Amino acid sequence: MTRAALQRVLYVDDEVDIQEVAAMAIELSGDIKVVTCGSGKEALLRAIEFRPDLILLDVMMPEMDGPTTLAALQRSPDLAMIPVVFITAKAQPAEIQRYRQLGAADVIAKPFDPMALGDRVQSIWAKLRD
Amino acid sequence: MTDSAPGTDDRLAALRARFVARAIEQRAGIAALRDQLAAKTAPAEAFVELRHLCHSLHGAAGTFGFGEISQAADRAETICDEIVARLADGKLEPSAELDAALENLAGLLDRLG
Repeated sequence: MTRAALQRVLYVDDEVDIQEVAAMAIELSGDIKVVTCGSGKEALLRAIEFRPDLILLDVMMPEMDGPTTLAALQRSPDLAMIPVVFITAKAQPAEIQRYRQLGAADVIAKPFDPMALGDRVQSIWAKLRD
Repeated sequence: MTDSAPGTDDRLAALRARFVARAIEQRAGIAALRDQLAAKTAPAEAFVELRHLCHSLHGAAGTFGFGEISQAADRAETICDEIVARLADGKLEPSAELDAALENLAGLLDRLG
């Protein structure tokens, strides 16, 4: 599938501080609009409204964790085609393999460098475009 | 590396200050749970809550420039993971290793103010 430039990112994380620094970092990397939300449940609603090109999804969230949220996205005909990248402190090789098997396009480890996150996201998007 | 836009440094500084305030609160939460563990009055849920606090610090501290705190929280979280896994077998045991890891983490958080 040919994709255009990255323009819309949905960032999902139950920690507001991380939401804000990530949004700032990603928006710095290009003409990108970042919408943030704090739960998997909210992500399902926001994704319908916002139609992101890419979803960055925390793994450990209360009530509806990242993998559960990903599964719900995959069940939605409107949302299943949106690539999802997990962003998590649980990023050992075995965990990364498991996330990919669940259908994640990539994994970004926490803690991340806010001044490098934008480039990382752009790099992931470039690979998805190819 | 992404270039900074005007105001980025100020925004980062504000977010960092907010993280510090939150980490100080989390330090209090960790201390309370550590006391419960020491008194052997901790319910199983305490380990889960402690793991969540450590996970939060592990994931956030390094992003805001506190790499040592992130690493210490990672160590404590890993030990909590092992204990929580044993809880599934119905075993709840005190852990000198966890106490040492929490003491180290608490000491680093104390330097925040």
